Amino acid sequence: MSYESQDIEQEILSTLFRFLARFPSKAEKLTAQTSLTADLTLDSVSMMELLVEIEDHFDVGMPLNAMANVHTVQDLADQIKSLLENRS
Amino acid sequence: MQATGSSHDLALRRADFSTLCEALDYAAGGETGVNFYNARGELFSATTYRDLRVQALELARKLSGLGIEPGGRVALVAETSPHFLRFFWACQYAGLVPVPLPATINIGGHAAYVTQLRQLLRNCRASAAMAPIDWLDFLKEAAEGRDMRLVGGPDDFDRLEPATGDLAGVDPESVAYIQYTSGSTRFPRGVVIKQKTVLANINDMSINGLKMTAEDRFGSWLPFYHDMGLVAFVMMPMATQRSVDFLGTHDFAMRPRKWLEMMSANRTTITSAPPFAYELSVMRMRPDSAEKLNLSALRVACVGAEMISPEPLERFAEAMAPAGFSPTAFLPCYGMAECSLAISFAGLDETISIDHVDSEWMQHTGVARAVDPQDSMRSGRHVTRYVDCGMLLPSFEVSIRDGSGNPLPERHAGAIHLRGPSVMSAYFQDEQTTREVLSADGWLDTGDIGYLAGGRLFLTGRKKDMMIIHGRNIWPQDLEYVAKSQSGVHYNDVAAFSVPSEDGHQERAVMVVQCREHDQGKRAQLINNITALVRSEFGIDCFVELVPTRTLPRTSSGKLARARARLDFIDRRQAEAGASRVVPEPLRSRHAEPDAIPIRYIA
Repeated sequence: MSYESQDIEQEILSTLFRFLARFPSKAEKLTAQTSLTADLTLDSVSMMELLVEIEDHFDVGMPLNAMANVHTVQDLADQIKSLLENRS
Repeated sequence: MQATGSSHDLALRRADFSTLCEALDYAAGGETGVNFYNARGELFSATTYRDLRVQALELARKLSGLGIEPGGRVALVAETSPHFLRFFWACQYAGLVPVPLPATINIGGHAAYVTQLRQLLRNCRASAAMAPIDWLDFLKEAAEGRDMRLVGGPDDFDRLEPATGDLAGVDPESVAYIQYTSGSTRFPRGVVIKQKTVLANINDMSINGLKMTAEDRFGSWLPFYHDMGLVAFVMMPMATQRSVDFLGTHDFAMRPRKWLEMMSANRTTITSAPPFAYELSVMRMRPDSAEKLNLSALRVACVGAEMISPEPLERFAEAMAPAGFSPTAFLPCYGMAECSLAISFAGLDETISIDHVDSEWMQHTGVARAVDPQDSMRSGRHVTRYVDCGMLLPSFEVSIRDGSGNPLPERHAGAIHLRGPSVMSAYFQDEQTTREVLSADGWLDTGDIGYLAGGRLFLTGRKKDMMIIHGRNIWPQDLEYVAKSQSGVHYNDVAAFSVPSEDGHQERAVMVVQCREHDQGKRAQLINNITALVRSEFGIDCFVELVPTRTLPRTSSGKLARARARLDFIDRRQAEAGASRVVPEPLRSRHAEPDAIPIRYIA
C-alpha cells in the first residue's frame, strides 16, 4: 500500500469515527473492527442519516447494494475508498 | 429532458377496462406517462404511455420466445426504475405473471437478502427472473441450482430473439400479478390477483375514494414491491391515463425533501405514504425551506400502512403551511394486498376525524361507547382515540364478527370480514392458508379488529401476530427463527411480538428468549448476536429479554401463546418500573390515552 493510499484510508476512518461517535455503542472504544450492526445502535433510519453524511462529506454516491457486505467500520471505509477511486 | 405533461385531450376513463393490456392500449392514445428522478432530484427518464406500450410489446415478443407456458411466473427485482415498468407491462402482453421481488438490503445483509430472494423464487416457481444491473449478482446467487429459462439483467432479455405470431395476451380471469404480502423470508405468502380484480379496485378507488379528475398527477417514492406502490402508483395512473413521477425509495429515505421538491415542481395532486414518512420529512427539513416549495396543488396525501397518530401529521401540516399544504389533504385509508389495495378512505377535503371512546368500557365489553373528551377529562375517565378510516368503498360488503363468527352490531369491535370483486383469488400454491382466511362463499377474514359507526370504519387492533414497523410488515416467526439459529436456543425457547414504543406512536419489536446460560458474559453475547442479526436481516432494533426456561406460556396443545407472552412481558416491565398494572389492556404501555391505532396498508 502506498503512503498516499494509507493517508486517505486514515482520513476516511477518522471521519467515520467522528460521524459514529453520536451513536450509542456497546464497544468500549470505536475501532476499525467495531461492528456496525452488533456494537452500534444503528437502525435503518439512522443508517440513512449516516449515509447522507458520508455522501455529503466525501461527495460520492453510496448505492444501497454497496452496503450488503459491510459489517465493520473498516468495511465501510473500504467501500468509500473504492467509490472515491472509481470516481477519479 | 422534459417530464410528461399532466393533461391531454384523451378522455378520462377510470379503469373501466377488462384487462390491464386494454387499459395500456387506451392510455397510449394520449400524452401522459411515467417519469423517474434520481438521488439529486433530477429527471432521468420520461416515457409516455404510448412509448411504454411500444417498448412493452417489443419485449413481450422476446419473452414469448422463451417458451414459458401461459401464466408462468417472471420474477422482477422491483427497483424503482423504468425497466420494471417495461417488464411488468411486457409480461401482461405476453400472458405471463410478473412477481415483484424486494429491492432492499440492510447493512451487512448480503446473505439474508439472497436467502429471501431464493425463497421467493422457489415459492412462485419462477420460470425467468430479471434484476437491474446493481442487483443482478444477488439474483444470480439466489437462482443458483434452479432450473429457469433465463436469469439476467435487462440487456440479457433485450438480446433475445423475438417470437413470431400473435402474443398470448390476457383475459379478465388471467392472473395480473402475484404480490408477496410481507418481508417474511420463511413463510412467504403470494397474493394472487386477477386482471378483473385489480381493475375493480382501481375503478372503485378512482371514482369513489379519490374522485379523480383529468387534472390529477401522481407522485410517489413507495417501493414497487409493495401493494401501495404497485397498485396505486404503477397501475392506477396508467389505468386512469395520468402522469406519475417516481423517486427511488432509498433516495427518499436518505433525502426526504426530494419527494417534496418533486411534488412541488410537478404540481402533484395525489401522493401516499405511511405516517413515519411525513414525520421523517419534517425531521430532515432545513429551516425556511418550506417557503421554497409549493404544495398547494396536493389535494390527496394518503396516510396508511402503520399506526396513525394525529400528532406527526399535525407537525407536517404546520411545517408545510408556508408551502401551501392544506391539512385537509391528509386522507386516512385502510387496505391490504389481499383486497388488491384499498378498502376504505376517509372523506376528501375533511380534517382527520377522531372517535373518542370510553377506554374501560371498551376493554371490558368490546363496545366503543362514544364519550365527550372534555367531560371525560374533567371526570378523569380514560379515553381512547381511534382514527376514522372512512366509508368502505361501495364494492365491498363488510361484516364485523365475534369470536364464533356471529355478526356484531354497530360500535361493537370484532374481526373485520370483507367480500367483493377486489378480493384475491388465493395465496399462491397454499391451499391451507387460503382456506384459513377465505371462505367458500368469498368472505375474507382480514385479521384486523375494528368497529363500524355511522358506516365509517375504525381500526382497533389486529387478530394476527404480525407487527408493523416503519410501515413494513414483520412476522414474529421470522424474528424467532433468527434467535433459534443461536446455539443453546431451542425450538420452543422464543417468542417475538411488538409493544408500543416509549412515545406510543410506533411499534417496537421484542423477543423473549428462554436461556439456560448463567455466565453473564455469554448471556450478553447472546443478546448481542440476536440484536445484530435482526438488524442486518430486518433493519430494525429489537429488544431482547432473557428469561428462565418454562417462562413462556403455551396453549393446551403446546403451541406458543404469543399474545399471553406479550402481556407477561408488559407485566414484568411494569413491575420492574415499580408501576402496578392498573389496566390489563394489551395495547397500553405507559399512556393513559394511546392515540395510536394499528392500520395496515403496505403489504
